[in-house]
Amino acid sequence: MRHLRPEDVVDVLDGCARDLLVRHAESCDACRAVVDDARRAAVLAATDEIPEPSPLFWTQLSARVDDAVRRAPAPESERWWSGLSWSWEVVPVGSVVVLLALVGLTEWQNRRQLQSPAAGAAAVPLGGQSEPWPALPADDEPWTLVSQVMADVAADEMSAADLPATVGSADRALESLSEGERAELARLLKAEMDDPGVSP
Amino acid sequence: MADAAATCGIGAVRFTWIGSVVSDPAVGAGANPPLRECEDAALVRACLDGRTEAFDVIVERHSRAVYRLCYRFVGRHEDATDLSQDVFLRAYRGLRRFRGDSSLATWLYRIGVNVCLNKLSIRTPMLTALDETAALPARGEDAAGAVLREERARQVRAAVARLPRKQRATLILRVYQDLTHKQIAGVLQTSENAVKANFFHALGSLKRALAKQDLR
Repeated sequence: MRHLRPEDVVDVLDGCARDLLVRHAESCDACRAVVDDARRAAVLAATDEIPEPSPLFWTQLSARVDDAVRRAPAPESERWWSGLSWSWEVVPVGSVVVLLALVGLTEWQNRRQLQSPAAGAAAVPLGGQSEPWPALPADDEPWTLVSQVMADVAADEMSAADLPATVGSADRALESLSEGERAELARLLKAEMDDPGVSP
Repeated sequence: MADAAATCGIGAVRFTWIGSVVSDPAVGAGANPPLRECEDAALVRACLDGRTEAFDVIVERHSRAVYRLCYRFVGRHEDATDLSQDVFLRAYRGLRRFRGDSSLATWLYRIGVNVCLNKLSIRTPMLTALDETAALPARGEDAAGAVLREERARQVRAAVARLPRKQRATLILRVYQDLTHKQIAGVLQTSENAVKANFFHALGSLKRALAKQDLR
């Protein structure tokens, strides 16, 4: 017969091993030595006693716990997900949820962009107060230039050209440009306006 | 479990005797037995129904076992007291997670082992930190014998403190808390055979650590 496994040794120590194992433990020198060593270690460990607190201590401990419990919030309510157990089925379900959330977010952003000043101009009448004007610096050259150009453009002409425009839409568009882009825009506008073929 | 709840009046009539039972068991005894006579599961349910005094009975019932468990891990009265309070506080806050699959004692032991191991992992492991107790002679024992016994106990504690976490928890629950291997498996959420193997290896480690003592 093979030697005792760790759990067999513990069963022999506890007196609940099968007869076959007990007989082996008695007849096999190696296994008997292992069982004897384990028994002596268990006995030695068991001889260590801890000091018993005074009888009053238990009352004090109860009072301490009671005080802490009364100050603590009530037992936590069960979370809605507490009934879920982790399994691989969660992965595809979670993926679908995340995907749907991403699609929804993208769609929402697209709708927001469609409702932005340039695209939403048709819905907001010229002169209406759709959004506050952007706060661009008064000394910003491109802004000044664009303002002058827009002031010269007649609204009905823009509508006829099918160009959506609202109050401040050019400024808002300008605001979204970087400083370098605005400088380049100003340069292009100036060059265009300086062109004899364009100027009135 | 349902029977226990019914016999303890934890149901529709529970609010008729709130607050009177623990302080004065005679009051209301005609209709409902006092909380002290309720089983653990019924106390848990009463507590979840808002009767915090039911938790007092739980503490009273299990404080010794929890304190001793904590003491075995940290070896200092003050720390064991703090940890015991922590164990009960965590148990109270997470009481809804106790589903009665195991006994309340097993559940409290589980919390206790986790709290103690967490505590030990964030501080220097105890090597000889157990309270220095005076080596008082036992009946029929001379002073020298008492000193020798205390010295041996100190060495055993130090050896137990050096055991790997699972072996240590297993040894404490088996030898000092007198739990069965099956109960320990419930506390440590492992198999019974794994508990036995851990216990065997813990004893082997203990034997080696104490090799220069009695086991030589």
